[in-house]
Amino acid sequence: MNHLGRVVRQVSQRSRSYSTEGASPTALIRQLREKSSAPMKDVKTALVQCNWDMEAAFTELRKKGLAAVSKKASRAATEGLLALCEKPGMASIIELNSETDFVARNDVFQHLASRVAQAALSLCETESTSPGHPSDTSVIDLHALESVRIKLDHPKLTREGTVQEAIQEAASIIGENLKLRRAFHVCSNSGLVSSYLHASLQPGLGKTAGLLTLNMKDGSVKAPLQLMSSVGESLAMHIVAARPLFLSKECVTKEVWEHEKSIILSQVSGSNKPEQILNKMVEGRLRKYVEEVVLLDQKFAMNDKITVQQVVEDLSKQAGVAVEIGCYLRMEVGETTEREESMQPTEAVAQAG
Amino acid sequence: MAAAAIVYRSSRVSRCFSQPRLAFCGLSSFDYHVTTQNAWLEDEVCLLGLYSWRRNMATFARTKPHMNIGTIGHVDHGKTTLTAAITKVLSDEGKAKAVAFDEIDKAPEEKARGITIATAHVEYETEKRHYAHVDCPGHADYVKNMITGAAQMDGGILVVSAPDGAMPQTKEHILLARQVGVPSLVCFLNKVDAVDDEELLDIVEMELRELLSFYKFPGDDIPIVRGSALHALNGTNNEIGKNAILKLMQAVDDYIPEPTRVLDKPFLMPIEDVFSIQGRGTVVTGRVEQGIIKPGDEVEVVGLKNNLKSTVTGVEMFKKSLDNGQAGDNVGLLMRGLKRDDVERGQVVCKPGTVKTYKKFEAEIYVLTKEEGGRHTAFFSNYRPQFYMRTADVTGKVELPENVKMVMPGDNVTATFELITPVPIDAGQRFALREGGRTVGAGVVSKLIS
Repeated sequence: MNHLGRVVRQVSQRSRSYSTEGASPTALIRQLREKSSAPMKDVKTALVQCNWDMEAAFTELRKKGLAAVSKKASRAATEGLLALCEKPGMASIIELNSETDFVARNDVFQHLASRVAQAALSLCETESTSPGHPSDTSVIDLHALESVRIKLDHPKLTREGTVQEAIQEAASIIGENLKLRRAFHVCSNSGLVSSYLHASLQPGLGKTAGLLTLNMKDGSVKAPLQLMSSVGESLAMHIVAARPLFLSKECVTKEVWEHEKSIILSQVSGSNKPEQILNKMVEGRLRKYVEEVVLLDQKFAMNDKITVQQVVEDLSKQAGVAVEIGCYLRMEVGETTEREESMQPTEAVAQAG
Repeated sequence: MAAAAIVYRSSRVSRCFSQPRLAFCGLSSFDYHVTTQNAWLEDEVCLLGLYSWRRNMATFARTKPHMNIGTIGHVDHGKTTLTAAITKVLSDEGKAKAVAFDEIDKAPEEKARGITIATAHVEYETEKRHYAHVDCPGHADYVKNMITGAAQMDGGILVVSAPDGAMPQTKEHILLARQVGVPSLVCFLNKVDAVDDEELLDIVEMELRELLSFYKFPGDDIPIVRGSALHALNGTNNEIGKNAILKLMQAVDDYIPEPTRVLDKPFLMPIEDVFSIQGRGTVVTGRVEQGIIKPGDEVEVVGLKNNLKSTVTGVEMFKKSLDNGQAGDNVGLLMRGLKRDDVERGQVVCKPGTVKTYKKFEAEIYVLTKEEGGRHTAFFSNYRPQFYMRTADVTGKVELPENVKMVMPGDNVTATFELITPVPIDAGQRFALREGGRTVGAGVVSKLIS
């Protein structure tokens, strides 16, 4: 970001020196180009149309830029970033897509993503979702989020407006289809929210994210927050690494259970073994499946001699208060839709025990 | 065959020849074998001889140097059209096979050394050189290309559309060129027919030069060619079409320097095996990585244990003794005064004083995904895989940078590595990370530490 700031300063110094020479067309073009980041040709056309009036041309360019954005709206955008914004006891995470990973590395895009995540958190704060639940993951309505007003404060893009307008303006200068894909809110009223962002180039931004809530059963005990947050972070890392599909065995839906069972049955039925042994084989393989996809039964990514359940139990002992994982969320940029469905909070979120 | 070893850098064409190479190694007079498991890492430098031989079959006398170049730029600025236009214009001169736009645009997924990379390849030649041209859709694909060495770019063509000018992410394109070690860039200002004002083109060019200079490329010297790839492809408006493409290729020929030929570098050969031949002495075998070796040359054996000096008294290949062995040749070297136990696989034979050994270095690695046959799980700092560097197989420790806590399959990361024994390492050297004989990662050395 500093780099870009410097470029801009450098260039702006230059253009200032141009303007002292008595605002030649070239200087005006450069000034407006820098201010708007619009395509060079459009900058000139706008200036000519508006009789070399900077302000009028600037307004004209914004209109034109937004029109160009809508033409690109149908193009596939599967790269991009996740942006996370946290406050004690709550966190919001959004996915903003672009067409190429070059754009995800760009600071204008990164700035935009962070601001949208902030907007998502502020939206949830004002709405104070479901106070009855000790912890929850909720889907943020994208329409509501798009109409939140935010302020972009980047040398290349300083605007105030709604989230939707901000995304469109960024798209108009970046020249790719940008899309706000999804947004989630995670909160805990009786504990804390821990998170981990993988492949993070900047704080709060990444390509894969793991979030979870650690709830205390007895709210009156003062818990060692530092210990809980460090264990929480490693559990969030585990979620990113191990891709669990369910929180606990109880959360595995009947359909999934039956589906797995039928697959295993069809695998073992070929062998000519007595039914008793077949049943045992099915049981064994189902247990293995549970160890693979159920968070609490998974082997802990940082120490495969213990399970996640044991990590939580150890934490409870050390903290002197019963702690449990309330819910968790795993997100990856550009996940396929099937995966997105399986990550619906209705399945991913459930109370442990 | 070996004499034809005009040295080319790796190209994917060469890869298919690794098996025959192993076969002909077995014919050598010293009756040795070469373990096949390491072949994939070695084919980069090797087979250069075979590659040129194969090219000779196709193009008759082939003396042009080979280089890899790539196009980078914004999605709408016409990278693919330009690539298609170059092949079209050069094919009209009989120097390329025209490749249609949509054949390039698909960017098929390729497997380079077991690693999947989305990349489109075309080949063409100019009066002066032969080029392999890569075009990848994303940053990650270029980085994978760099790490695997599938197409180490010797130069790049930055494509910028004239009516748009540089985009915010053009900066990321230039930074990519830095990251993957592209030494020189040439720019193509595309779609100039959409701008009727010469002055506006000058502004775009000026802005581009400033941006390039800011990111430490010689912005004032970089050739910027104006044209229209679409006109060149359609064969209309020769001035900004065909002629602009020819001008661009001329600029690429003139401005992008040839990498040092492997033959011109000091002699180096990694030892693959050591034999004791009755009545003759100790013979070390391997493929010459760079330089030339003649009987009577003084050499040094470096790595793993104490360095030793010796003199080569014979160079043999195909049961024949040779006047010299050169880069790309599989040879056996008869070493004066060395016992069989003095040297071992993993050391290198080199010109005295040219090679240093290191234990600690910084490198950029790509970790293979489960689908590519790599690890299924993440790893953390202090992970201890095997490092396969040239022919040496050494255990080492991974030390992740502070802001990286975990590495998952499919990631690339720059980290510090420390081996338990010193081995000869150069900056830019490629290596493999292995676990139990299985390749789990590929890397390229970026900085030597100690």
